[in-house]
Amino acid sequence: MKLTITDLTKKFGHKTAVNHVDLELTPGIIGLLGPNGAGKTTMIRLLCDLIQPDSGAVLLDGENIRFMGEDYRDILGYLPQKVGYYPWFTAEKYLMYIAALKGLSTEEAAAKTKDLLEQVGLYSERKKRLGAFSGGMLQRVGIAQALLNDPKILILDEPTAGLDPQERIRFRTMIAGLARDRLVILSTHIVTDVEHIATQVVMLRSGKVVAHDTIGHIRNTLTGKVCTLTVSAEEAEQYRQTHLVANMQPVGEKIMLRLVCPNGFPDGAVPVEPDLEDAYLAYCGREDVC
Amino acid sequence: MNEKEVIAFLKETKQTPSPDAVDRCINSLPDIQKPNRLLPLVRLQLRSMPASVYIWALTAVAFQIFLAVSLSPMDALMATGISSAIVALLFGWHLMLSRAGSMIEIEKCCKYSYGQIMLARILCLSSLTLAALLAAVIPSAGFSHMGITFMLAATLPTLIGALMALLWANHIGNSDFAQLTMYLVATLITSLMLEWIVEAGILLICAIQLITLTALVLQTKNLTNRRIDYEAYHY
Repeated sequence: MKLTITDLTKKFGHKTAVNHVDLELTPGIIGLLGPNGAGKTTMIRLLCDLIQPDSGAVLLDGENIRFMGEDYRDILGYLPQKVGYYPWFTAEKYLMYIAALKGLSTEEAAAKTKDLLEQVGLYSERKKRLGAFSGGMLQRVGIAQALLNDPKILILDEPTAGLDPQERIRFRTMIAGLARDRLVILSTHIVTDVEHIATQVVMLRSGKVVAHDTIGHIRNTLTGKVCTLTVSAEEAEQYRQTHLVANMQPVGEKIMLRLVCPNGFPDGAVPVEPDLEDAYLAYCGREDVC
Repeated sequence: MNEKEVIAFLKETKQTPSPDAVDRCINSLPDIQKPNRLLPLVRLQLRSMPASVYIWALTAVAFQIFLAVSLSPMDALMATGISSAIVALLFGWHLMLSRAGSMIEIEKCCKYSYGQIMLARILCLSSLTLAALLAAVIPSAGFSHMGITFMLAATLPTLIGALMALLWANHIGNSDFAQLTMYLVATLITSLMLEWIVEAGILLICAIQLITLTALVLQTKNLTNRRIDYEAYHY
């Protein structure tokens, strides 16, 4: 199974949200990273055939998804950024409703609903109305509905928003288990979510793909370009204006900065191994520094 | 042999040919496309409506009975037609249900197309309105002066409203707001023309009803069987 994106473009008025994007996505977990306004959600909506591109196409094994209709939706699972729900539904009824819309029989729907509610840790709350759920609980119900039809293509937009650390770990474990023969696209700001489970990373900035590779290769592009430097608080503030600062950690009276410096280290800096967050900063960070 | 019998036969012979030959044979059989069935979807939409929708339906029945009993037949007829539009407006938020809870994106990614979901909601809405209307008009026919002509004519605004909404869904677009607007405008215009329709006679009323119902069935069938649907998403 291969999802091919060819010269995909989408504009909203004068703003180009997705700008001539070309990608080839194969089964595994693909992390879609980018700052706010990079075009991630627009890209996801294009992949879900929710909006039509101004040019280009999304092809599934050579077939344009725009002309596949029901056949594409049948293998698609989607969790939007804002989980939609009817407040008067209970969690169980909500999943049964979505399962029916996805074409599952009543028996299949009942079995999947029970299984998924247990997986997301909400089985004991299944009779509670969704209107009374917290944000994190709604997010978990949203994840469950995306998995109802056992999708081959699973697209998750900010899936861990509102989840506490324990829930995030549980979510990562669940997704990692699913990705064997599925294409999972995980759009997020939280780099650590992607770093732990993704097989590939796509970084978007201003509607364009600035990086697409495995996490290891992307990290390696920054070898020798990431350092730490211990400075005073006043100097730290200056470095913040002029450099890409990945982290600031108080060390006694001073501050240890973690800097991403593609053009050379400042004096006294100590090189360190880069991580994905450094890469994110380098590819998607400010253009006016370093 | 049908497909089930072929699969059963091949499974029985699994031991004779090489182990993967039967699996390859079964996998190469074409998938039988199961068409989306409308009735389960309509039942689903009926069950998914909150209780307040049914309370509005009962209120509509009471109102229609009041109109049928207290006004002259022609006035009652016109008022019934206009009140059908008002009732449709009250129920009509159900057509916009997906927007209420931001469900629209999730529903547009389901196997049933959004057009089919809207179809089921229009049919629910129309059935409820018609049922409310007939539940009011038929019992009160005994103690009001509304004849069969008026009763048949009173159903036209709802039927034509539903048809216009379906025509829009089938041939123009999936906007729920546009479909609700079409429904209401068509219901209102038809109710304003009821006086002329009734004066033209029962034959014309029956002809309009027959044509409308036939068109409704055809549009419903078209939407139900449609497998490819371009979902126009208005952000």
